[in-house]
Amino acid sequence: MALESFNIIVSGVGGQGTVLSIKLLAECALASGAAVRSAETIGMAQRGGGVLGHVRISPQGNDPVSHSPLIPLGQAQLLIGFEPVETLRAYRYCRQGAFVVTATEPLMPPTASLQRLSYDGKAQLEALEQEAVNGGISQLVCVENSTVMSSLGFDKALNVVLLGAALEVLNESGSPYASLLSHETMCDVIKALVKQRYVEPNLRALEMGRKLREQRG
Amino acid sequence: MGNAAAAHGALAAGVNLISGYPGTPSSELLEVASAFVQNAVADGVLSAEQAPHVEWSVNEKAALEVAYGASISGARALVTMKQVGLNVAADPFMTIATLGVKGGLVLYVADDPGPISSQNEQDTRLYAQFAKIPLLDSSSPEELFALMPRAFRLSEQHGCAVIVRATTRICHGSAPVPAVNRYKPHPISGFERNPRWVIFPPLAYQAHLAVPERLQSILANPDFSDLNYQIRADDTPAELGIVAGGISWSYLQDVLCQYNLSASFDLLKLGAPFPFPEELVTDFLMRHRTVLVFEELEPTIERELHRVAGSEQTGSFIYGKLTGTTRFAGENSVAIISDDLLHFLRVVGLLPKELLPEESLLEESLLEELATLTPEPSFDELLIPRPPVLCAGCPHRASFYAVKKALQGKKAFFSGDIGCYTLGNSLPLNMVDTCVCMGAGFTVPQGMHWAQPDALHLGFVGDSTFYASGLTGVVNAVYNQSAITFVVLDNELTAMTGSQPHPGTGLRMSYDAKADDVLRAPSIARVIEALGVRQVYEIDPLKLPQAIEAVTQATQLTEVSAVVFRAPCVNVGKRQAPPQLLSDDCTGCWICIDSIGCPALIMNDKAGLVHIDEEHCFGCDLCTQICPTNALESTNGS
Repeated sequence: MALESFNIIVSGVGGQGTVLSIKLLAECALASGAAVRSAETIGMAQRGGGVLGHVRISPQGNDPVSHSPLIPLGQAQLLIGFEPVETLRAYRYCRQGAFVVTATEPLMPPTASLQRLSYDGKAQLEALEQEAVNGGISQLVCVENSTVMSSLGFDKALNVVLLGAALEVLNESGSPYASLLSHETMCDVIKALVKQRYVEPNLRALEMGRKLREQRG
Repeated sequence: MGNAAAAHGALAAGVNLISGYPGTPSSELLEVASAFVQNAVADGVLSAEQAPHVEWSVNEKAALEVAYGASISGARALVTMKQVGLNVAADPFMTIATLGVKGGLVLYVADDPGPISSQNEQDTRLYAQFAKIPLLDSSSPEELFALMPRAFRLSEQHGCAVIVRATTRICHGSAPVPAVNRYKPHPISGFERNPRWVIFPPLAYQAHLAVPERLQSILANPDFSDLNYQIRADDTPAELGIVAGGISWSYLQDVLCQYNLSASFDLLKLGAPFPFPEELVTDFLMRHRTVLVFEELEPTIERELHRVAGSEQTGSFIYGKLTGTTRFAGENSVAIISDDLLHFLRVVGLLPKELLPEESLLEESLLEELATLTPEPSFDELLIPRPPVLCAGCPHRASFYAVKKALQGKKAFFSGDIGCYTLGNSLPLNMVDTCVCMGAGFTVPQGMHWAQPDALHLGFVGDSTFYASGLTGVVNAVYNQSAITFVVLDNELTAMTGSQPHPGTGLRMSYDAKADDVLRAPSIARVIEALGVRQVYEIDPLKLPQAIEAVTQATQLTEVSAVVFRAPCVNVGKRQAPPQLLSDDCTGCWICIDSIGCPALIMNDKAGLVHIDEEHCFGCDLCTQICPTNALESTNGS
């Protein structure tokens, strides 16, 4: 029986580079022979609102098992979150035992100040950690934004650092889908898709994400 | 994405002209096509003479008429719009349906079930029925790509316009599609004088008479009929037949795959639902006593099934939106179709044994199953909301605030319109009392004025909307002496749909656009003056005292007046330095946050002061003009 689809949900705030990461994931899987569908929220949702991206990978390119672009709730095996509350918000898309990679720096929703809501992201990260303890999440990787900044010298490539960490988690887990999202293929995809002058920084970001994971493990 | 796939499909068909008006979720088609043409001309692989003309038209009506003009000259023409855009273009649309076309004329119309970013959930399939022109419905980006050449061929072979319909999840969903590497223009045969192009009542009658025969011949054309097909179950005949179209067909495939039911039911896909394929449907209905329909928006297919079941006396029981079996409004999803299908199968006793729970307590066991699939502790209190807002530095924020300050304490009503500035309704600005459709921001307040002359009435319209549908509203007020105040929010582009140019910018989508086109662009203030408004104030809303003064003066008049707030959208404007916070002077009163709700102003509850998010601050300095203790100081030296 064919493997079911591998579903990746990407969650962040407009302007964080979620769209590029969806594109890179999709192209990487395509280059590895899979069939891919993806979708992103555009329009009204863009103005500082949350952005959700869906990537659905059917391992057998010639026999796709997903026909529609949106991941049903409870069906994602991997969640890449760019911001604590956005990661938690997308968690309902996750299947039991999903992998979750999240950035730790909170971005205050503009309406929160108005409503006098305080928000530092800690409670959201703790909730995710609790999920990792009780098995809802099988692997949780928290990427400190400040580390990205200090080791890369720039923070625009957070999206690719998160990708690097996510790919490594997949690789370590021995997942049958790891070969569809290998570091090597992702490097090639970055070289092919990203503007020439941003290739090298993005490759460094990918490598940094991979190593973040290595150090932890 | 699906819109790009449609663009490439049209280019593969040698389309000679593309016109449209931006509207989510349709906008990217025209942009992708324009970029393709500009690159091809720049690379020298396409000559200027052969390049298709691509334009953003002033509105959908103009876009369709431009495309029609090309079509009757023998060119292949494509016009793009969102679902409500077809309302604007409905006048030419209904008559073009009668007149017919020469070169292929295709309307790409994107519906928005949900709706995700629209003012209604209208269904373009009903427009096809209304105008009696064929409609091809897509259920994936790949299909969109393939539908375009079919649509052009059908249009030419049958001499009628053709609609290609998509919906948001297809427009903005991505899948691999073969890109067009070489564009070969369709040969343009030229316009020939003929009375058939001049509509008169006798011609309208004759053309109307010809419709049934045309529809019959379309049904027999493989470019059309191939899109409607049955997939038979393994154990024929299956008791249940399921009919679906659009993205619901793709969702259904996922659900059937998930439960291993792909071979359990007979399926009928309607990828070309108008003209309705009665013969195929009759055959399907004859073999199934029970038929279930999945579609989004109106029960369009379902009603047609009822009609055929009645006229052919098939004795079928048809279930869908009309029977309450499926959802009446909103978009479908895998989860919704899964729920509706399993529930229905249980009710009619057709749920396969392997899916029947042992104690036949299906709902409970499904819930249990879901509980194991979905880790769902309640995080609700942690999920602080993040609704869309006007961007940091958005000039609309300053405009709304200036009007609010100027009219504080006065009885005034504010009519809004379609665009980013609809977000002016949210707190703390709360400056949009009405919103209907493109242009209504200028005309609704005129009616309110005649009903309530003791109040001030202001209408807010954006720059792109002004040209699209606002001009006639201005003329109407001048003509009828409706003493209201027009407020134009001119941010120098069509912001909401992705920064498209419009007539006021002078920028164009065609490959030969020139820099000096920008200089020749009309000024909105001059246009309003020319339409007969005597008092027009043009002002930068970010200069707050002057902006407030302009509104005060304009609204004191007893005749129609206008304020044009002009400042660039943050997507094209120049970012300035953030203000400096003088922490000794900040009292933590939060007046800045509570007045304008700028996303770059954050309540820092540790220090008890306001915090400027320098990454998001655009340096517009609006907040520096609001702080009562002057704790926010501009660093831009003005």
